[in-house]
Amino acid sequence: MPGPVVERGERVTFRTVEREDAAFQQRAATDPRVRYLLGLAEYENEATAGELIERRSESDSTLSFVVCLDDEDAPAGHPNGSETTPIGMVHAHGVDGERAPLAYWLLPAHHGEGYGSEAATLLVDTVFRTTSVHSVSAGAFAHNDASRGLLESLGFTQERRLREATYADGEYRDFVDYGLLRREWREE
Amino acid sequence: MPGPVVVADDDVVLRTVERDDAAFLQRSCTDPRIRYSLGSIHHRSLSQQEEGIEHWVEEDGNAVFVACVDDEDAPAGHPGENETTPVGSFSARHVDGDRAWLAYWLVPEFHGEGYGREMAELGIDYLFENYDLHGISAGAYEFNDASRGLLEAMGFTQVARRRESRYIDGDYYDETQYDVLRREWEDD
Repeated sequence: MPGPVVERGERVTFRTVEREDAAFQQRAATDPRVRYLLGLAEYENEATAGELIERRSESDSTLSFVVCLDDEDAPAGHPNGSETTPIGMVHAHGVDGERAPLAYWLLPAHHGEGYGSEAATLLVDTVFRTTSVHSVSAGAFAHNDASRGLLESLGFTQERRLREATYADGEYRDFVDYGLLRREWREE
Repeated sequence: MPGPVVVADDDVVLRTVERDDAAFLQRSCTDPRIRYSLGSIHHRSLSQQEEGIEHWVEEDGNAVFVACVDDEDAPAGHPGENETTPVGSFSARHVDGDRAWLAYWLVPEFHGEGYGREMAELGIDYLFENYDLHGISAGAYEFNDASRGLLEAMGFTQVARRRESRYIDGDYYDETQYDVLRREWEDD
């Protein structure tokens, strides 16, 4: 299970990624509804997903959270299995640098409820509030309308279209990147 | 000194990087006329550069060369000090994937002689001939007219302008990115 609450949105909470969340982390690299959109050609087993948690989520240059739907009486500290529902993960890499690339995914069962927008907004807000980065960026495959629409609705500007960037799900696909500067976020 | 010739054109040859080329490569992260254009914020010591050769130059996923101008009687094998002149470096990362990323530089005293274009074309030909790449990408900061002009002259397409993405020499600058697909390079 994820650990204590670090940030709260209206409906979602950001909880710490714990080692035992490896099986949950693994879903991003196995479920075809998630991994194709993330461009992950290779699936992972639980052990390599665990190593990724150690290497990424526990790195000082990364902010990494499990996005959760807490029950009404869920504790701010370590919840048990029936007190909160992990629905996805968010990461901000390179938060000790100038530009932090963001990454996030939600389990397909929780798509379409606005949780993605809420989690992304909370992530951007957390990064600009707690680190000194000049800007954040986020990418999506060109055909990922949901993710691109979300970024545009948050005020991101498209800055790149890498043509035929990655071979995913049977063909080369374009990848687009967006950026958002700190002063643009302040203006929102 | 650099090692044997791997590929050659009329004026420029690409030779292997040897461990004792660290002092030459170090110029790319010390000379402000080179390092600012590469966005190198941190200078490196000779010893760091030597480690870099072992960890980066000798890594299978990278192709790195010293670009040299040979004397008439320079051997294809290991040259003596007075038989060739190192003028810059051409490198590509991720040559074992779909898409390689270029980096190249010339020492300032050899700018303006056409060596940059010859080196880049020779290197890109080598990459497409020897690796199963779908495309090749390269970046240049907005102020680097020489590099951007070179990429455009070689048929690269601008695909990105990452706004204020790097803090260099007192200000934030945009990074532009270009790419060329194999079929575009071969059509030329």
